[in-house]
Amino acid sequence: MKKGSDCKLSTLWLAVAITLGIAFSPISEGIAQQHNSLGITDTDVVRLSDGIYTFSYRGLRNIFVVTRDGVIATDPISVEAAKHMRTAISDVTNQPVKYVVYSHNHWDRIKGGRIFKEEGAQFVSHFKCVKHFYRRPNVEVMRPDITFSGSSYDLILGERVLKLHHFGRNHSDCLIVMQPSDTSMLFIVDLVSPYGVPGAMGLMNDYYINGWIRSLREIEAMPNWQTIISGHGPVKMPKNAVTERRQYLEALATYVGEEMTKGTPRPNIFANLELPKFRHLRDYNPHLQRNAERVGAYFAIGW
Amino acid sequence: MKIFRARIFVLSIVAAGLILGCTVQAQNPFGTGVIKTTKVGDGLYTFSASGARTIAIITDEGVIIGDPISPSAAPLIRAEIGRLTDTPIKYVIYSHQHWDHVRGAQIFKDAGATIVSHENCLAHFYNDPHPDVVLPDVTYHVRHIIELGGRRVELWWFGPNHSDCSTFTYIPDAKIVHIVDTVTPGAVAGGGGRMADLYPNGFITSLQTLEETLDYDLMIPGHGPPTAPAEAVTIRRQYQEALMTAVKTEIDAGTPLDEVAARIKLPEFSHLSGYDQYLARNAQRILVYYTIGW
Repeated sequence: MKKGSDCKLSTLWLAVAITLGIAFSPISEGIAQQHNSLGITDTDVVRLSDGIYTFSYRGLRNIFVVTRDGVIATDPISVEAAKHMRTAISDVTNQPVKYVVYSHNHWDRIKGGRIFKEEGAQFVSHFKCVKHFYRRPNVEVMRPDITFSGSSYDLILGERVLKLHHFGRNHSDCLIVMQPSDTSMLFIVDLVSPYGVPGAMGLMNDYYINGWIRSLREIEAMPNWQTIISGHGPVKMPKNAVTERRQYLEALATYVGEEMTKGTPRPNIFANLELPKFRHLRDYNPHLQRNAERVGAYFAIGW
Repeated sequence: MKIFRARIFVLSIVAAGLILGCTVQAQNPFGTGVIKTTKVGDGLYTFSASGARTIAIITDEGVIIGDPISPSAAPLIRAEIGRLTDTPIKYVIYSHQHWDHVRGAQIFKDAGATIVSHENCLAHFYNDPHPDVVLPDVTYHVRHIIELGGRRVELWWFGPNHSDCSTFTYIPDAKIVHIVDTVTPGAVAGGGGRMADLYPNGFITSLQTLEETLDYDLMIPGHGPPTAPAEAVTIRRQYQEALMTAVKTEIDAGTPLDEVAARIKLPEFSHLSGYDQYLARNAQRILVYYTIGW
């Protein structure tokens, strides 16, 4: 689903992707690289800094951290992606994968972990994900071995720390933002998608508008970071993408809230909606109205 | 044959309302708004106000009501019940947590009523507080029985379906079950077709369990006609099954994800209200489920 929505490339995004592609050369020769008509690779690995890599598969991106005592992997994505990812890791280290960290509970991110489980990796998620794994089980999703219930957790392996931040409910209620030690990068999945409005066909089913805005504010206020490694799309995005997403959501919520308070008939609220400041964002046209309807549903029924 | 059966079903929904219902429309003496009251059995009434529907079970020792609906609907409901009986309102049963059904219970609480919901609703009430939503006094796990004035009312939780805390209120002596939003008779999934708060697999399991567990002839929905035949539950389940099967078939066939929804056609359900408007959105919602597990 994300492949079909969040990952459609606008000209702007394509330009950024190409630019960043020049700046960060792929390190793996062992991975089959397929190219689609836009020239974007299906599978890709980029070294971000010492021991920090990003792997992408058909538009979905994760990170892995190589330490002297093993590897911390993140979202395995799918069975097929995980195989490629394992090869990519083997291309840069002989160390075993010791941990796999789930960004959140959605299947498009976390299927396929079995090959890591079989080599002894422990799976890590926020505690709030656990109920989702039981309510909506998927045989390709490995259950976590380690959970944390607070707002942060330091996953320590070898000389590295992967700091896990939970900001409450935003996109799902168990999403964590990851911060590798000694870098100025945050790995952020789905809270901010590259230069676009919220995807998933604009439906935003598992989203919490107020918590989402608050979370983005808290991320903006975090010290010592400058760059986003995004769960979808280009290798890197600047910090201000968080601000832009927050401003979009605030504008959306303000407009819908004010119109509902005025008693404007619901169809008119959405039919007349325009947010010109954000017209440049990818998928603005197909998704703006749906995004607004989703916010309207929350204000009307609390969901 | 299917079309014929569908027409019969629609006619039976209308007939059920006409035969059983004695509908009275009253102006609100306490504020704006209109309430429609329908008697659907002995001491059993349904009220439609503020766009939603609720129920009242009247006994010699007190009244059990369903959702308060809203601060404007609740006084209307109270006034209508006052017209029907002198006994107090003892229980308010929340059908689920959504605000379009459960706001406005404060006036019943102030008069001494006990508010009941499924335990899973608590998390929603705490996570998304609303000033017009009163927290429940009693919660239950799977089944909760209220016995009052010689009548028995059973509250059932059959797992997640439309929300994860839906209560189906069963009145055994009338063979009627009150189902809010999980089944809206003669219609595809509503809520703008988005089905934001939905558990697709649990939805089917819940309705199957309901069909196998309870002995009922009629349902009272949370929106729509006063009553509908039990078959409405089965049709809604079959629609959900057909929708999920069709979407999964397209995914498995390798149809590009952004083309799946447009390809879904379920002509056997084309008689359902909202079919043309919402089928594609219903399909998109199921597509989201199969791709991200939500």
